[in-house]
Amino acid sequence: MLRVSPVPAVQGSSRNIWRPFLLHLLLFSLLPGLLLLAGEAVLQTSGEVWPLPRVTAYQRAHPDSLFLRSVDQLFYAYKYRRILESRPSILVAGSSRTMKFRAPMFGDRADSFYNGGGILNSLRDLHDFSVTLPSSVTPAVLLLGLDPWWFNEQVAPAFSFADEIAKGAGFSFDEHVMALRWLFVNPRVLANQARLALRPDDNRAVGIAARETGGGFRFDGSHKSRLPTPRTEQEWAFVDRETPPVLERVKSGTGNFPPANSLSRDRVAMLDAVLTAYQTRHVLVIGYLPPFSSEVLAQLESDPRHRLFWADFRRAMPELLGKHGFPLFDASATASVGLDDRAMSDGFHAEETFQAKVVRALLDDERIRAALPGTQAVLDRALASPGTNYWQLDFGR
Amino acid sequence: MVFTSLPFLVFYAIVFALYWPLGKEGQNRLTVLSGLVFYGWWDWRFAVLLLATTGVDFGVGLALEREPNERKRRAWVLLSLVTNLGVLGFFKYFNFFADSFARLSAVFGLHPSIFTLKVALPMGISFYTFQALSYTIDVYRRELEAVHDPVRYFSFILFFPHLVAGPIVRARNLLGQFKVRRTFNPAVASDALRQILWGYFIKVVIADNMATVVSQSYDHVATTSGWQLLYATVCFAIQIYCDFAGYTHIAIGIAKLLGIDLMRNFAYPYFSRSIPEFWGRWHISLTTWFRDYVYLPLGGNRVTSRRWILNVLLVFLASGFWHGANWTFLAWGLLHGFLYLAYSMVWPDSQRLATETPGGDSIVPSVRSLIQIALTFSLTCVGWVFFRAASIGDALVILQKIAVDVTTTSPAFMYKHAAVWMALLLAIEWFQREYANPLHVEALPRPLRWSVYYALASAIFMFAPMNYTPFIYFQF
Repeated sequence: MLRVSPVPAVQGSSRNIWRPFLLHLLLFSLLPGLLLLAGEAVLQTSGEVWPLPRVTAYQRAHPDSLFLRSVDQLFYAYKYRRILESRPSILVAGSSRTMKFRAPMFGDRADSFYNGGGILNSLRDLHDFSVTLPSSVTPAVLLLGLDPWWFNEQVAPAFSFADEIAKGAGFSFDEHVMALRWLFVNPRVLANQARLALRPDDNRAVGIAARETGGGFRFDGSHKSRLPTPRTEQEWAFVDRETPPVLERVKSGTGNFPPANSLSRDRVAMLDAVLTAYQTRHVLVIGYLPPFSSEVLAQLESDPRHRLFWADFRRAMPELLGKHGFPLFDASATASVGLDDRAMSDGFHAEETFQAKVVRALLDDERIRAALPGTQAVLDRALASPGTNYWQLDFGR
Repeated sequence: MVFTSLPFLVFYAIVFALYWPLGKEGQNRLTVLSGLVFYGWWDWRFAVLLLATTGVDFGVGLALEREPNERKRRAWVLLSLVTNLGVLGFFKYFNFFADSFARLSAVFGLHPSIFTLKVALPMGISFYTFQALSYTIDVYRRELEAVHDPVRYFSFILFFPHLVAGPIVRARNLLGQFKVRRTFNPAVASDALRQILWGYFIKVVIADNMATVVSQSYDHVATTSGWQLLYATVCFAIQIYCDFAGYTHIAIGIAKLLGIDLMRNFAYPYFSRSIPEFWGRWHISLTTWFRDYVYLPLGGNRVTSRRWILNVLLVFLASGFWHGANWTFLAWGLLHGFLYLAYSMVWPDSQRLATETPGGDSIVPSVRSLIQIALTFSLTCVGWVFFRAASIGDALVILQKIAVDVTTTSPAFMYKHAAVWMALLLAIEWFQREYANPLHVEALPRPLRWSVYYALASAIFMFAPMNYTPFIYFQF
């Protein structure tokens, strides 16, 4: 039979009834309340949940500061906002494989440079970006990184550009809950950040990932790696730090590498339309095919499931950009700029020295040289500096 | 406004703070006002509709009390029935009948131009309509006195904890509670908070996490294996139970915090040993409503066998139709009707099990009980296939795949996750099945008791999916 708990009769004045109940409730809420407060304090002091306008205002006041969140990194929203704010005349756009181009590489035009690397992860992103960006913000030079999987019919776009750029503008309850959850399952980070909040240091990074790792986005949109720079010859040996390694993905045909024999005609047509639009607006588009490590490149060239697609990609891209009178630099092989795998941090991400070499190689084109005054001198100096290594450039500052 | 949203928590805190210092009249007025805000949050136009039908029922109640002439009294109660069922039929069933008529015409080569309504269904219309009908019918039967105070009557209908998804409380049980000033009782309030905590836990942690597993299979029937569909069906059985029972626990809890007792709606239905017992434990407020206002007036079981069979099938068909204007709900209702009849014929006393401890008194169930429970659960799962599937065709494909396609796929992480939640739920419910609220832990020492509360609250905070999953029964 169903048992019902006996309910004691209520006696005493109204105050006598309420006080013990409320005290009891308060006492119970104390522990979770304190935990939530501590978590929220860490989120606020670390900048993890700062709305993006506050982040960009802070970076403007502290140009050496980095930004990188741990939970929702808001690549699209953050970078799109910065593009609108800074109205760059030289803009890098593409996936994370283009994130290492930096403002100081661009000589006299450094102040009007912005790296939007990470904001485009599919051809649909590129299309949406090109139609969404107001014409008043159109750059004079667009360095456009093109990834082969953008043209693979089997790879569906992972993001909705419109949804992504709308994020992070203001307070979001869900964002706070997600960030608090993340903190509670990472108690070491919570403790470390709480310690930093109590004893502030000169760490000006915004976002827990930036504060914990020392990596993140600079004010110019370029990405400072969290990886420590190798020192010994042994440490410089190439290691693919992606999980799973890029070579494995290519071999297994997973991730961005499902087997295909040819480029998607629809997607090629979409790129064609985007290029036509930029041509009409007199934007100098510079196509760029980012590098792969030598083992990944060899696999793409020899694997019968990828070979045809890959050859089609390398043939079609220069043709298509050439049709619009745009240059394209195929840096698929690290040797294309006289470097090797040591310039790569994993199977498909090159570090900034490689990117500097790409810019230097681009200057061979007269139009580009004219569009980027002062660049050659800066790069020649930086690349020759003894402080420059396979990953980092020494700009002498 | 839904119970699992931030605006509701703010709204409830304000109502709670304003409610208790007030006298009886003030409490009732606040009940009406808060009900309108709560309901109008979705669409204020539907709040106007709700006010209109409630006004008609209030007037009908007064007229029924004053009118001695039986013929005229019948006319008055008919007015209430036509108004309430007319509005319900218009909003909920018009498109169904129009579509069905068009399809039937097409069979005969006719293609009449039939328009369908492009309006949203007023939230909870099936619930408040039945609640209102319980009042006018009871007054008509002279089982209840008409209410003269409009604020009290509107409080009965608009009391927000039960407004949109029940329990469908009878007028005779609820109206009296609005007649006196409610006084705060800390012990009741503590019990209410426990029930609310349990309700949130099973809704947002268990039901909402099950929803993902279920959708992944049921939205892609053609490409999903029989094994996955079977698993998804079991998950759906748990999802719909936790979704609805969770909502009810929250509703009962927040009503209790305002000094109002709502009726119990679920009594551990999945420990039922027969289908008739299941119906004594599942959505009790609706089942008893159909019993009192449809089954018994039709003659109940005090009629010929043939008529009794018809009565049972009619009630289950009506119950299916109440859930929604879709052939799948009708099939679900009819299936349960036949199962109910079969059990009642083979095991006439099986319904009485609903008054006993679910699953029997012993901690470890006997093999016989276990088999009976498993069989009943399996049969309800067959019913859930029809309830959840997009169409009768889909439901048949799912059942066929479950029976024939034994391809096993390695369960993804999410699937294992769902199994853990199911096991936890069943274990807690089994050991607490003697209590109306499974979170009956008053007897435990405080550190242990609080640890349980903290564990549930933490689970809600950490595992509730961030995308909003609407309460399934809101659509009814």
